[in-house]
Amino acid sequence: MESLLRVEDLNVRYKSYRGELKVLDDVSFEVKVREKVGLIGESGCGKTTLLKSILRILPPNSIIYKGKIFFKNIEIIKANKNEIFKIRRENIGMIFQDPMSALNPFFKVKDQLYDALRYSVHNIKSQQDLQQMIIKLLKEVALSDSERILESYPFELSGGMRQRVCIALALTRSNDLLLADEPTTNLDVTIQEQILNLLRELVNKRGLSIVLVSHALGMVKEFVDKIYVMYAGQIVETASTDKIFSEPLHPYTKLLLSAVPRLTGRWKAEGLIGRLPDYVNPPPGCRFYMRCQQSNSNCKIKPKLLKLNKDHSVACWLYGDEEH
Amino acid sequence: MNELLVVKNLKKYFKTKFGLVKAVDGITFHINEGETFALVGESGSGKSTTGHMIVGMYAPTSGEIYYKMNNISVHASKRPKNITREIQVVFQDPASSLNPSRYIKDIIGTPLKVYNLIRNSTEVEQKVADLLENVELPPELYMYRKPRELGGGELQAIAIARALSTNPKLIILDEPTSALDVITQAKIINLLLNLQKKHNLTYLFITHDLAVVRNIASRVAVMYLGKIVETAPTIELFNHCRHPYSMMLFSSIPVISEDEKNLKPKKITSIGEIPSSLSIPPGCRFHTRCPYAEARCKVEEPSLKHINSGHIVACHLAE
Ligand SMILES: Nc1ncnc2c1ncn2[C@@H]1O[C@H](COP(=O)(O)OP(=O)(O)OP(=O)(O)O)[C@@H](O)[C@H]1O
Ligand SMILES: Nc1ncnc2c1ncn2[C@@H]1O[C@H](COP(=O)(O)OP(=O)(O)OP(=O)(O)O)[C@@H](O)[C@H]1O
Ligand SMILES: [Mg+2]
Ligand SMILES: [Mg+2]
Repeated sequence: MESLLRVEDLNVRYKSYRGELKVLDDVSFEVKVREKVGLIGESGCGKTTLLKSILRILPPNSIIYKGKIFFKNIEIIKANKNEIFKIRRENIGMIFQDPMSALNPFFKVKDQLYDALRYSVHNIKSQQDLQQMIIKLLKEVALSDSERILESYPFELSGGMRQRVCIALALTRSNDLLLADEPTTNLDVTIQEQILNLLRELVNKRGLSIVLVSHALGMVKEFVDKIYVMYAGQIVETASTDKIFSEPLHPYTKLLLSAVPRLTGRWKAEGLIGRLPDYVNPPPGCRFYMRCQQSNSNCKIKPKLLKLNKDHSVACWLYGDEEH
Repeated sequence: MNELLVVKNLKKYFKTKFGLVKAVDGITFHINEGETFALVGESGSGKSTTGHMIVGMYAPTSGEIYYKMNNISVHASKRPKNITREIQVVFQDPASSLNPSRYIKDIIGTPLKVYNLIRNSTEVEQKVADLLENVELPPELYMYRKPRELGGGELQAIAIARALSTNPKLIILDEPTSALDVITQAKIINLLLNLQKKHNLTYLFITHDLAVVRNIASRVAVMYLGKIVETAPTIELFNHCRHPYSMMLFSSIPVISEDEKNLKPKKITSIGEIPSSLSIPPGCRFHTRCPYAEARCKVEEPSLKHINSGHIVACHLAE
């Protein structure tokens, strides 16, 4: 399959009063055409930072310290404003983690959707066209009350309704790639399923590619083809979805999976000690070192992401031979 | 057991240009002191609105809310101060419920001052530090940061710390861990459970994460389009849910293991479209999507049936 997006050795930092927060550390990441890719990892590990870098919408106190991002043949970090605006309008859509910050609280849903569509690539001939397109879009994201919803301000909608409006907004823009940052946190599992089916259809029919960031690992397992596991700004493991769940290798991936609440009701929340390191002075070696039960003296040196076979790579001294 | 909160035939209708939105349309339930009562159900079915009425963000259209036998069916400003202190909330959208440009210290410290829970400013600092410790955020790293510099998970943890600051008795937790990874979620839920044991706290837990509900709730109510369609003790509900909407919901839970797959009810696919909350279907309001619907379901609203101890269902077909 053809590559659509390639991130190479990306390093992103934030300026803070305590010094620079060295968040993303040599992150490499690839999405192919029609691929559904999952990005998982602890809160604060840098998932949103990575997605925002791709659209170049990082906050003003951020620094892209090093690295390259290629979308099709465009080098995102070097691209000029017009190219970036065009990409944001026509190629890459993003569903933001926090629906309220993606919607303007002072405008009706109608105005926000109209604006998005008016500046999109869709060929809109008349006001009626626009109206119809919007109603269809709302229906697709399981919003049946379209008349009322269009006339509502965001605060008049439930959390999940706002989230579905954001999904609709993002879909107007994503012809090639959809960056979905926790898109279904406020949706019940039945509507979630309906949305995922819609996305699958877009992948099959339109050739869309999707990056799904989510803490809901059950949904991730059902939806994506490939997973990247991130810890404290580093990719620690990547493999096909099946492999991540059946044969996780990195001690962090194992820890993460052990914490998933289960329907069997035996949820053990013990043993989940420690927290992400401070990004001002992150450990120079493996960033998971301090929390790892299997660490040894090697771990003070940073392990490279080592390809074990065609679809499984891990950054950990427990695997592979000495050289790395 | 002591009923801490009792809700009777509670309704909230919102006026809009297109008619009345019947967000909550006559619900009755109680929460026992010290328990975790979960409210689950369709997005838009009225769960948050219910929570908002209990904390007093707005008064109900009709019906009553009793807290420790006191009728509190009014706006929070009309409630006694000791009751407003005892009922706290963690809102669904942490980013919009926290002022983006205030220091975390002030956000968590304000309720402490409002309710006179501290004597001087050094005490504020100490108390805020303790609360941040509680939710796994190192105080030295977070005290002087602002919400706009923080990620979704960090904000959710701060909202929880703020709700805990007034030593509440009843906390409405509206999707309190939906922005948290499974590790932080497990830690925070562990914390909530420990605090519950220590201070005999009562939780109204609103969530879409049914696996979490299975693990921590004592009883569960399932909502659909403004009504509670089924209530039962947790294990009973997960093993023997009776309402077709509950079955549809439970059969769609994504899981990661075979063991869990075997516990799910047989897959029920919804038919029809989700109805508009402006024109609620007559009879049983789920009939337009129910694969089992019969003639009477279209005309007659089902009454509440007691299946067995504590298991109540609103369906004509449940015997
Ligand atoms: N504008 C900012 N200024 C300073 N630090 C920031 C800023 N934005 C994010 N950070 C920090 O960068 C780190 C990574 O944040 P990011 O939001 O990318 O994490 P995340 O993986 O998306 O987390 P979550 O799962 O909680 O959404 C966090 O420690 C966060 O506090
Ligand atoms: N201020 C308001 N004005 C008008 N309608 C409102 C208002 N607040 C809520 N609603 C409507 O009430 C209904 C119930 O909303 P509520 O937020 O209680 O749902 P919910 O069950 O919490 O859903 P979710 O799971 O998506 O958060 C929705 O149709 C919503 O649009
Ligand atoms: Mg994020
Ligand atoms: Mg809600």
